[in-house]
Amino acid sequence: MGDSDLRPSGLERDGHVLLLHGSEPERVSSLVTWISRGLNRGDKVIYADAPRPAGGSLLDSSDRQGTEFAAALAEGRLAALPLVRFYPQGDQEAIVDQALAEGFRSVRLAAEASAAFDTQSMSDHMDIEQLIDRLCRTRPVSALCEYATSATEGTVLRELVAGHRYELRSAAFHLATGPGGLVLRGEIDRANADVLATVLDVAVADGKGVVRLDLAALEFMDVAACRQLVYASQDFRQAGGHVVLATPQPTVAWTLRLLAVDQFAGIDLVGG
Amino acid sequence: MTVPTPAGYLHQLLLFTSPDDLFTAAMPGLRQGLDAGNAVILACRDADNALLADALGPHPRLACVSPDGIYTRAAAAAEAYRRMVDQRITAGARRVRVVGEPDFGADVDSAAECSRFEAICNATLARCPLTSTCAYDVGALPERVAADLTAVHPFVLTPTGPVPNGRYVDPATFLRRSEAGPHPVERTSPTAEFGAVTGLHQLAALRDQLRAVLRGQAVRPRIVTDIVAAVQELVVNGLLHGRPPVRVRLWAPSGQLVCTVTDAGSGFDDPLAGYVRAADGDPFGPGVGLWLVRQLCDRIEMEKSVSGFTVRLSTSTRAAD
Repeated sequence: MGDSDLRPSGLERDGHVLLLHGSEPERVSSLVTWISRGLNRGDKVIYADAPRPAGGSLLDSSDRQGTEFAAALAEGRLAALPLVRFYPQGDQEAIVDQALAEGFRSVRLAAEASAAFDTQSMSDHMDIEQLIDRLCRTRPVSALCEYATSATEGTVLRELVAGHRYELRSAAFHLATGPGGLVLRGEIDRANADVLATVLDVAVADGKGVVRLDLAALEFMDVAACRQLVYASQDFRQAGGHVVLATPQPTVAWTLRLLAVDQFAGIDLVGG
Repeated sequence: MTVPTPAGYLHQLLLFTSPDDLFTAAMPGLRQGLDAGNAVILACRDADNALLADALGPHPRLACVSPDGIYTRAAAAAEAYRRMVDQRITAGARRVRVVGEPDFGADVDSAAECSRFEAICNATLARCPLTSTCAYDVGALPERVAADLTAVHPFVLTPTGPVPNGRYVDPATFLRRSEAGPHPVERTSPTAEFGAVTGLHQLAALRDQLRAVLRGQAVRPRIVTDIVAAVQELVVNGLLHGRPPVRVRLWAPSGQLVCTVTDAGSGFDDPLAGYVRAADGDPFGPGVGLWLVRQLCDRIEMEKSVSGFTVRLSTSTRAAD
């Protein structure tokens, strides 16, 4: 009997996920995938969007997806909440309690988080993120927190990455925590290399001597991505830390070797 | 008058007419080098490597390497030299001596590529503790090629040792006068013309489109990877250091790919750009993108025009993986 047979069925969760989106279509595409997965699993799905002009909401679409969502809404499996009702301090736990009281075994949240920046202070917002993080760790809850990349530069991005460690999605690049370290998927280039830098910055600050990046599903890295691998880990490596770049695909390994990333002290390329 | 060995790079030309010639000229320096704690690397044709290595006898600081793995394209060969020197110095050698017979194969204009390689070495290896003896069989060389090779070596190896070469031309001047200019195929309509790129957020889509076009042309995967990575860096440079929009055009004449990346900026004029990495000591400092591009394709040239600044990239699709 394998390990998977021992796991209670239906309780595995996606966790507390940071979505960085560059545009509305990108956001909607990720949100639709998130909602569909929840409905298929039998979760109670609750999503909170900022107000849209008439006809512009997710449920106004007349395609098959829109029809399916409308049916789920009518049956109470899906709920659309105005953003102002989702974001008041402390209300998120009540929302989860209510859904579980309706008989659902698990709850799946999604919120257009960066749209709430206008109505609350950053520290209030981060308090709510902490609460959601606790709910995701202690209750049968998954949450997709949607942030526009234009609203998440510098310290904000760092706080968000630290607050969602480590589950991050964007159009080009996914990050997840696996048994063998941080699992990178997709493509990293000049457009999103700052996200990689932030992820590394948070990971090396965790205080362990080795940060392992699983690159098996990473399909592209440009010079900017390699630069961030080196720069963002520099102090950590100089203090004796190691960054392990595990099992890169041949194309990524070729770039890493050409740029001699593997020749920097404290960077170990293995299995490439 | 022969010169004392400098601390940095001593780059000398040896035009020989027979293996005996090569042997007589090269051996004294190699013997002295091994005696003085230098590492010696032989990168000649097999027969010449064997001739020199047999005479020197087995030695822990002597290595023969295959010229095929080194002389792939000018920028890559210069980088291979730099890495070989780095490794030997790290391993404890005081200085490195290379005797090589550069040959870039039949698929490129090997003579022109040799001259380019030799010219850029003067810039990229300037600070390396290296003596390189570049040996060419003069009997196989057209006169014009011999003249070009003479122009790119600051020293000539004579039976009494290296002497300064009065006909030496600095690398920027040499590269500028040997530029090929637009490829004739650029006068025809492109195989593919990609939508104008105005922001970094469009890079991923451009890469996808470029991959699809190259695969459609049955370009081998390794070359697809290299071209996509090279165009990525050129477009990033155009967006961040030039001026948007950046336009990418691709032609696929027989056995070749020609790609132009044009931004709307005023560009720059430096034929050595992208050959020297870490000129300021930072391996990921300015210019590293262009450095990578030079490693990934056979040739790039830069050109200012009324419409902006164009980088032209060309690469053979026949080259072995």
